[in-house]
Amino acid sequence: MKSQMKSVSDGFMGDPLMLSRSRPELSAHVPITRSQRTVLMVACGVSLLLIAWQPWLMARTFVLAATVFYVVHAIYKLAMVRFSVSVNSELVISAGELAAIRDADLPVYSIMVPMYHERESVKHLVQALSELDYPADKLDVQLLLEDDDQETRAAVGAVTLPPGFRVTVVPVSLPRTKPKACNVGLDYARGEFLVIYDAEDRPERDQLKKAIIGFSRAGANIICLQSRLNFYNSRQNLLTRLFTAEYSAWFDLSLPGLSVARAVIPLGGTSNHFVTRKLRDLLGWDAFNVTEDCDLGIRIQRAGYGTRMLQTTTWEEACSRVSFWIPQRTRWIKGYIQTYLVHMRNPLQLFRELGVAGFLHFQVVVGCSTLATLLNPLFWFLAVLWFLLRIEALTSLFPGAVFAMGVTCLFAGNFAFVYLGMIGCYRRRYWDLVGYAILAPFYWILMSYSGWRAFFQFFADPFKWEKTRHGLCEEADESKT
Amino acid sequence: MGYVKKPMNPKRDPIKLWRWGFWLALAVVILATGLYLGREVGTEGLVRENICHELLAGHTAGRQGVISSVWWGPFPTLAILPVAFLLPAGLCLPACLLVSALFGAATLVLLEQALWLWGAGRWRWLLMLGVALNPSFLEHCWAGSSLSMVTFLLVLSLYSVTSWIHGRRLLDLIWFAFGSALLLGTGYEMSGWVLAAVCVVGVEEWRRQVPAAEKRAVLMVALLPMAYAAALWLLMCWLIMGDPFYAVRSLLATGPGPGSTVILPDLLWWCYTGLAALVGWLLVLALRGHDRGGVCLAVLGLALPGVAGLMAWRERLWDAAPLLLAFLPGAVLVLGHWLAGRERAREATHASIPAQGGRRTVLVWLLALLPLVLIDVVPLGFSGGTASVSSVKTPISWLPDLERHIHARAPFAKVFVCGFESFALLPRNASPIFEHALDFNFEKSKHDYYGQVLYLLIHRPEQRDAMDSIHWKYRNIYVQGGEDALYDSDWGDWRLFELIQATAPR
Repeated sequence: MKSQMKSVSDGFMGDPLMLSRSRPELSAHVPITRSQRTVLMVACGVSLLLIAWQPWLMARTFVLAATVFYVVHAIYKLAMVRFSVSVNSELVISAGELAAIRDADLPVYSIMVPMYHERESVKHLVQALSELDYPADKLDVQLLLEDDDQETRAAVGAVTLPPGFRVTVVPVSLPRTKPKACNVGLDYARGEFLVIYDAEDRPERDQLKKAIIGFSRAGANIICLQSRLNFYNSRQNLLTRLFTAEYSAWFDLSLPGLSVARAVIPLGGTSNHFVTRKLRDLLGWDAFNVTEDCDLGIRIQRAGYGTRMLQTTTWEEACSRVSFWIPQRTRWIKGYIQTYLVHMRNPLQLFRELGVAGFLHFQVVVGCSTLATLLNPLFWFLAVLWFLLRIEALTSLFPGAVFAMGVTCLFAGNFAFVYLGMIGCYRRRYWDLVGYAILAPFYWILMSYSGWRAFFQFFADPFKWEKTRHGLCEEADESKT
Repeated sequence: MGYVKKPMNPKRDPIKLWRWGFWLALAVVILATGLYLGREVGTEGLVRENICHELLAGHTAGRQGVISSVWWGPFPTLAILPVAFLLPAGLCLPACLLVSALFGAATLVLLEQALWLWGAGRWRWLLMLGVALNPSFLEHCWAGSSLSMVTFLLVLSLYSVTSWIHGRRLLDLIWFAFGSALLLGTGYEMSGWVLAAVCVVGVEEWRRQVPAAEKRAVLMVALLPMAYAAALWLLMCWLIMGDPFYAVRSLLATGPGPGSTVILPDLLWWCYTGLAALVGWLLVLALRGHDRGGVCLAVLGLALPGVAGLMAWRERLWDAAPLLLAFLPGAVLVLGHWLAGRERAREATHASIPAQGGRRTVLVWLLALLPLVLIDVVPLGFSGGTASVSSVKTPISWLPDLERHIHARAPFAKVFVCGFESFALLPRNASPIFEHALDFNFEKSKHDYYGQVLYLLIHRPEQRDAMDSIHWKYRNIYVQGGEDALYDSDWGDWRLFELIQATAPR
């Protein structure tokens, strides 16, 4: 795959849909291929026949498979957390190393910020990026604005952009997605390294320098560094508190663990630092994938490269309203489904490229986490039904060992996930949020609702990009004052 | 930041693959030695193993057996469960034995690793050897007892809480939290020690000059697993037994039973007193040296005989046995911590090595030999639930006779075998006329088996068996029978009663 990528990279220039044109098998422009559809339909048909023939046996088989799945998933997540506390789970750059670096030695660094209907974020964004500790003459900041997004363009026009900033207008064309805008920006990027930020992001000041040192230390094989993400409005309301607990567990515990295990890392949507040349070799982002970051993380691994975690934080705005949070989560889960199906088009090739361990990591990280959000409501329902009504038929669905595993998952597994949230907050020193993590089960209900919404949307409207609305934090602040 | 790993000896990586291999090899050695010496599984091992098989078969008795008594904590049974499930049926190796050997080996490896991380020299192997050669430790491993699990969890909790106080590493706090929570799940006798540990962590947090929110966060992370384990136990009792406090009812309902006045042999008494005095002396040294970790470790070490003393005061010395036996590795850990501290101090001051080496060797050998002194004085049946093998074999020999006796009276009779001892009594392929009864109820049985001849088989109420629900629900039933239970015959330590059927219509 690596050599093939290099051969087509020369033709990258000017086409934001290059991946889908030259490597269609790696793009989600066809959400589900004909062969996948056939396999899926045959599997459904056979399952229905078996259910009609032996409904009880099938139900027990399903419960057994789901229980084993839960056990494996829980053990895997805990193992990743255990890995994450090892010494080298992240690239840690010391203050001494930062002080030793000379401005003259720094390369040009490209920053790309795709924006769409985000006029309220412009002022803060420009301020946050201009505060970065990096020489202005070596910064190449591109604000990627859609051609028809007059409000954001006007807001940007009203601000005096500091040196090193420029506006790149993305022509109106389908699909209207963030990765397509990023591909346009990638075409114009001048930097040796490149990073993506969202409009509402506030990266730590020394993040770019840390990334430079990180790349030099990580080795030639590492072409991407993922910063930690967290929220500056974590205490706005209950939803943002729970969101923070989840993010802290994911970026501070799970992803560093995956990094130590050399597993596929589904990148976060922002603050991914790349070696620009290598990113071009990989043909940039898949413009049709609604979680292009996760997909790119997998493609990096498939191409024989790697990703490491960088100990620096970018502060984002947590979605503070359920009505916006659900579409955002829907998009993420839908993107995971897309990514899983894209890479499983040819499982043998994936297996060859990732190896046994990488293949299994991919199944658990991308496949199982999505499946878990879909399966959870069913098992919660069964548990509630059993607790309330004590239906004997349910007991027979869980014979001996399955019952033991099921009970372990229900009580130990779920507790472990709640506890992970607490530990995440603790590591972040969000002392006051540690207690809120106990409420995580209510948050999981929202996740599962979004999961099923994503599942149906994947078939009904696979490319729909439900834009997350930002600036609610500022709105809340203003209303308070 | 606080969570960044800061071991006392930062050059050493705590995770070494060879330790896993060493652990497995030690387990194999313990297991093989036990088999070679012809040791057989004790009562506790048998009970727990059979509860697992009942659970895997989906029987109510299995579910009740896991959670219905604080004297038979659920964690050891649940630890045996996956092994019982995975071990092939044809293999003549009890799962409890395997699990016990694994935990025993893990205790030793953890002890060695703890001392190593604290900066101890090669002499740590001697300390480990001192525990490894301790006969009571080995006998319990060979008997498939839960004591090896208790010891492992205790060493884990002690080590992690001390490391937490030294380095405030989050991982240590988590290990402490889970170690203590699981200790709670091993049985009632450890709850006193866990309470002491919680108090120590609470005091440590209280005296720190940090924001109150941080103290709360620490306590939540440390205590939540324990609170959850306790709450889960209550919930399970409510779901399975219909009474959330079922497991603890025996604590309130029973007084000291026969066999609860076991007196420690004199020599053993002096050994433990000497060991406690040694730990007390180390506590004084730690206080003088302002070594907070050492103080905490010594206090928690002393809490073991302290709680055991309380138990003895309540005339339940047979339950204090696990605490006393776990005191040995605890004391070794305290000693190792102190010695490692001395070694680090000497390294820092570059003191004369030969003289120190000689003193240290003598000291270590003395203390390593101390547990060896106990070889001939620890009675094998010391712990109530882990009686010697002979008491297991005898009853099974009369089981067919009992069956014939019942058949002679009524071919379709049913015998309810009460209490946890029933799991040791009845083999897995026992006749269907026998049924485990952990929560026996006269009215319900008569209703469910209306018209059938029913019998009740009750074990003598001594030591842990006196805490079975049949004895606290129907007091003196073993001695006096009852309105509905008519004495039939004695079978070893068991007594058979016939249930008098009421003739009223259903």
